[in-house]
Amino acid sequence: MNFRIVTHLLKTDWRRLRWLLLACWAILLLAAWPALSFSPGDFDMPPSEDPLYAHGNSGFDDVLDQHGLVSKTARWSFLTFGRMSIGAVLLVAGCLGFHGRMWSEGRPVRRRESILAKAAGLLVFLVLPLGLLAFAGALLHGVAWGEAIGMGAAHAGRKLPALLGVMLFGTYCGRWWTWLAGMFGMALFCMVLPRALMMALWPGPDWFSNPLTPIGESSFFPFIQNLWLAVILLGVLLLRVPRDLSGARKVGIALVSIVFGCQLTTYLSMRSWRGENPLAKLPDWSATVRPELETSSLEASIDRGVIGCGPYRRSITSFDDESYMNLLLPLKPGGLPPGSYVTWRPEGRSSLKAGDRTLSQTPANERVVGWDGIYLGEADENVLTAIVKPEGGKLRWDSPSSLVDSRICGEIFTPIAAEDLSPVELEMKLQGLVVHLEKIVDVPLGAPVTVKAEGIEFHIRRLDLPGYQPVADLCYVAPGKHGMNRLSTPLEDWLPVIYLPGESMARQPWVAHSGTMTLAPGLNAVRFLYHTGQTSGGKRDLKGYDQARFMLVKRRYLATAKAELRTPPLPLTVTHEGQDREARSHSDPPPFNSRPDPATTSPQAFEKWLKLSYAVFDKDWGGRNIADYVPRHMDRILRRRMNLSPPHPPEGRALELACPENRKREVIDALLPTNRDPQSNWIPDVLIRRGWVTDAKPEILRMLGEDEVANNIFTQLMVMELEDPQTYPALLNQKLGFETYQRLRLLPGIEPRLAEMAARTFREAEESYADRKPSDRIYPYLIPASHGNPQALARLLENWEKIEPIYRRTRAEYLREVIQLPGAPDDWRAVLGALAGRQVADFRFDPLARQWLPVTSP
Amino acid sequence: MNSLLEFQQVNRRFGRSKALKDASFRVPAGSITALLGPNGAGKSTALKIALNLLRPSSGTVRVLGTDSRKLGPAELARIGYVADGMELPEWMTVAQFLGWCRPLYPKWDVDLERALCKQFALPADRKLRQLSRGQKMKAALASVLSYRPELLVLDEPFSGLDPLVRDEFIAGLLELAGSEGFSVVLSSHDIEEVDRLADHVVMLNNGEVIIDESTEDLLARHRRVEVVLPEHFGDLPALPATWIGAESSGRVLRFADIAHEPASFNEQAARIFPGCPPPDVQRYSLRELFVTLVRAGKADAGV
Repeated sequence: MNFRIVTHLLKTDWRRLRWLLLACWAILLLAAWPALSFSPGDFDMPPSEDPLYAHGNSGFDDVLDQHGLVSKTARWSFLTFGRMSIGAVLLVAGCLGFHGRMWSEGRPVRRRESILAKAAGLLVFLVLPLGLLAFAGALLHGVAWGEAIGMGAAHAGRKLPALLGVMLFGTYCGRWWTWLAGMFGMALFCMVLPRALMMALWPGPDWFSNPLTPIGESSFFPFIQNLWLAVILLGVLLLRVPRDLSGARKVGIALVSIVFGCQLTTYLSMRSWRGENPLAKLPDWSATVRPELETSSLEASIDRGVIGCGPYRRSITSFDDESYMNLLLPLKPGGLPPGSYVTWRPEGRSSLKAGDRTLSQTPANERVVGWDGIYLGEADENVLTAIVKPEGGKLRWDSPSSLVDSRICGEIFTPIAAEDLSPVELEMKLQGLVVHLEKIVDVPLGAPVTVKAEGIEFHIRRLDLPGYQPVADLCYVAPGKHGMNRLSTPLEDWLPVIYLPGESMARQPWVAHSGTMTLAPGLNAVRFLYHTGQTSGGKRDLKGYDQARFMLVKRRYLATAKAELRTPPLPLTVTHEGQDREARSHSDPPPFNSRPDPATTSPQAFEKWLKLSYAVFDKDWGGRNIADYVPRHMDRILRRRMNLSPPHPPEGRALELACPENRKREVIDALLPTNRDPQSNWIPDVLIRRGWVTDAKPEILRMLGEDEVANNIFTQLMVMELEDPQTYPALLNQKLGFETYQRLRLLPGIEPRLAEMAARTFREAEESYADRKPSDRIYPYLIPASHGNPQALARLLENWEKIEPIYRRTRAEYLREVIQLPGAPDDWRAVLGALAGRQVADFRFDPLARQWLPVTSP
Repeated sequence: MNSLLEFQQVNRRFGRSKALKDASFRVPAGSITALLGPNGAGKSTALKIALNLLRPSSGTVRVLGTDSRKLGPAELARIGYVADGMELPEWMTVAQFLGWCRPLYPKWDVDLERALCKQFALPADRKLRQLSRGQKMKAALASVLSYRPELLVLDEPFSGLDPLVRDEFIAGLLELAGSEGFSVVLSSHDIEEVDRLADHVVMLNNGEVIIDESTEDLLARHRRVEVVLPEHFGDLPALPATWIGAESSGRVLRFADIAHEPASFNEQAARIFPGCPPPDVQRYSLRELFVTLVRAGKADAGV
C-alpha cells in the first residue's frame, strides 16, 4: 500500500470537489443551527422534519404563526435547509464516486489504494463533519464529553452505509447524468412505487415495503441491513458489470438487483421476525396478584356488535357483523402496591359450562391481538384520581379522557341458547399487566415555570390565545425518544393532566401541536401544546383556571401475572340490548296464548318470552305482558339492563303493576347496582310510581354522594321527591330540563338558591346556543326567563320572531309557560298575534305567578 | 527478438459471444506493432486484457514478462496506455493533469514533459474540457510519454482525428519511438495510417489471429501477379495452393502469391504458362494486401 498515492488521490478529490464540499458544510451548519442554538426555556422551537400535526383544531398551526410562537420564516428556513442538507450530502457522496475508476485506468494505482482514498474521502469530507455536528449538538446541550463522542460516532455510523452506497453507485454509474437518473430511479422504485403499491393493495403483506426507506424502528424493518446489502450488491456489480455498458443498462441492472435483493431480505426477515415483547422482561407476579370474581351471578348482554369494557377491548370489526354475547366480570384485585392497578384480559378461549357440557365459548374467529394491543393509552380512573387529588373527595373527569375501570374485564362468547340459561360455570384464563402511576410533575399552569423530574428539565407555561381555552405549553430536552407519544422505553410513558381544584375537575388534555427536533442523535427537543378544554360557542370559560395545575403522571408497567378463573355454578342472565337487531325486527306482538304459564315457567322459557316482548315498542303492552311473571322471576327482571335514555323498559312497567309491597326491598336494593350506567337506570321510575322513594332514601343519598344522578330525569325527580335540603346542592348542580326545573322550584326553601342556577343556565345558553337555529334557542332560555331574567325574555321574543313556521306549535306551548298569553293552550296562532312586535318593556314579571304579564294589551 | 507482449491461446467470452478465440500473437521489443482488423475483431478487448482491465477467459497474456493478471504498479509504471474516448479529468488544466500524473511515476521526466508539451503545442493553462479531441489525445499521450514507458499501448488513437492532426500525431510518435526506443502497440481499423507506422502486424478477424508477422516479411512474402495469356491458351491449368484469388479479365489473369520466392516462382510460371510473356510481379501495400486477403476469403470485409 502506497500511502503517498492514497494521499495524492484524496487531495485530487478535495481539489475537484472543494467548492461543493464547502457549500455542503455550510448548508449542514445552517440546517443544524436551530438545533445548536436551541434553548428549551425560550419556547421557540422550529418544527423538525418530523411530521407536524394538530389535533382538535386544524387551524392551530396558523394561530401559532400569527402569535409568533413558531414563525413562518423559522419554519420554512429550517425545513428548506434540512432538505437541502440531505440533497447536498447525497450529491457530494455521489460526486466522490464519479470517475473513481476511469482516470486511473492503466495507471500505476492499486485498486486498494483507490478504494482507500475514496473511503477516506467519504469519511473525512462527509461522515466526520456529520459526526462532529452531532457531537457539537450533544456537547452544547449539556451531554458529557464521553457520551457526546459516542453520540457523534453513532450518528456517523448510521449514516455510513447510505453514503457509502450512494458513493459506490456514483462509481458504478461513472457519470453525473447516469447517477442522477439512477438516484431518481432508486427513489421511484424503492420509495414511491412500493408505497403506491402498498396503498393500492392495502392491507397487503407486511414485508411488501419500501426496501431502502426506514419505516418505524429499524430493528423491525431491516433498513440498515438492506442498506448494507445494497452496498455489497453495488460492490459486486462494480466488479462484474462491464464498464463500457450503457448507462441505462447499468442503472437497470443495479435497480433490479437492489430492489429484488432488499425485498427478498425484508421478506425473509419479516417471516422470521417474531417481535420482541417488552412485557416478557417484566417480573411475574402471578403468585401475589390474583383476581377474585366480585359477583355471585353472571350478567351477559347480546348485541349486534360486541365490545368489552374496562381495560380490555376486542375489536368490534373482527366479528363479521354477527351477534355475540358480552360478559362483564367485576374483578377484585389484590396484592398490589400503592398507586397501582392491574388490567386483566382473557387469554385463549374462555368457556361457559354446565357440568361437562360446554354451552358457549369465545368465538374462534377472533383476531389475535398482539402484545402491543395492550398499550391502549388508558389509565385507571380510580388510581389516577387518587394521584391527582390525594386529599380525597369527588373529582370529576371532564371528557375527553381515556380513563377506564380496571376492575371490570370483558369477554365475548357465542350466544347461548335460551334453554341453557341454567347456572353455568365460567372457565377462563387471564393475563394481567400491573401498572403503576406516579405523579412526577405538579406545577401551577400560568407563568413560565421550570421543574426538574426524572433527570429532565421541563418548561411549562400557559398560553392564552383568542378563541381557545388556555393552552398548556410544555418544552423539554430529553434523551432517546422520550415523549408522551413516544415511549422512552417500551415500559413507561407519561400522561399529562390538567387539574382545576376550584372546580373539583380534571382533564386529560389533548395535543394541539407537537414538534420534535433532533438536537443530536438520541437527544431530542420536544414541544407539546395541549388544549386544556373546548370553548363553547367560540367563547372561553376561564372559571377555575386561576388555580389550574399541570401534572405529568408517569405510567410504568411493573409486572405481568397469569391466573385461571373457575367459578362454581352461577346464575346467568342474558340481556338483549335495546338495539337488538333480531328482536326489533319483529313488528307484530307475540300471540298471547303462546306465552308460558307464569306460575310454572322455567327461567329459560321466561327469557325467551321476554325477548319476544321486546318486539313491540309499546312499553305499556310489554309491561303488562311481563307483569304476570313478576312474582316468579322478579330477580331476573331486576337484573336486566337497557340502553335507553330516558329509560322506559317494559320491565319497569311490569314491576309498577305487579311487584308486591312486601318485595319492595328487592327493588330498592337494585337501585345502586343498576346505576352503573346512570343514564339508563329505570329503577327510580318504579320507585316514584310506587311511592317507595322515602324507603330508598339511604341508597339515594349514597348515589348523590357519588355524584351519579347526572342526566337521568327520573333519578332527578326521585331525589326531589325526598324534599330534603341536604340534597339541594346536588340538584342545583344538575343540568335540568325546564320540566324538572318546574318541579325543583316547588321544593320547600329552595327559592333563594335558584337565582344562581338560573343565571348559570342563562350563561350556558348564551355560550352554547349562539350559533343554533332559532327553534333550538327557545328551550334553553325558558328557565332563566321564568326566573324573571329580562335578557332571557328578550332572547325568547327575538327567537320567536325568527322561528321556522314548522316549530311554532310546539314552541308556543313552552312560551305559554313563561308568558301569560291569550287563547287556548294549543292555539299557537294566538301566540303569534300576541307577541308580534312586542319588546321586553311590554311585559312585567310577576314573581308569584312566575310569569311575564303583558303591561298593555297586545 | 524478445517480446514485450505475448498472447498465448487467449480466449475471452462476453456472454455467448467470443471476442477472442485462441488468439496468439506477440509484440516484439522495439517494434511498432499494429493490431489490425475490422470493427468487432477483438482489438480493444485484446489491449484491455493486456492491461488487466479485462481478464482473459482462458489462455495467458504476458506483458513485460509478467502475467497480465498480476500486473502491478511497477509494471504499469513501465506501460503507457491511451485509448480513444478514455475519460480524462476534464476539470483540470493541462498542467494540472500532468501534475496529477507526475507523482504516480517514479521515472517521470519533467524536461521530457516540457518538450512534449512544446512539441504537441499543448496550452498548459487550458482546461482539458476546453481542448479539441486531437489536443486531448496529445495531452493524454504526453502524460504517458513523459515517463518513458517501455511499452506504449494505443487503442484506436487516430479515431476521429482530422488528417492534419493525425499526421502530426503519427510524426511525433515515430520520432519519439525512434529516439526513446520504446515499443508501441496500436490498434486501428484504418490500415492506411498504420501502413506508414507499423513494422509488425497482427491481423484479427472475428477474434482469430490471421496474421502475426513483421511488416517487411509480410509484404515480402506476398506479391501481386499479372499474366497476359496468349490467344487460344485454352483451359487454365491448376494453380499452386499459394497462388490465391485468381481472377481473369479477358486475356489478363491476376492472382496473389502468398509465399513468393523469385526462383521457384519463375520456374513454376514458365511451366504453367508456357509461351506467355514473363508475369508482371508487384509488391503489395498493406492495405492492398488486406483487401486481397479479404477477397480471397481469408478475412472479413469491413476495412
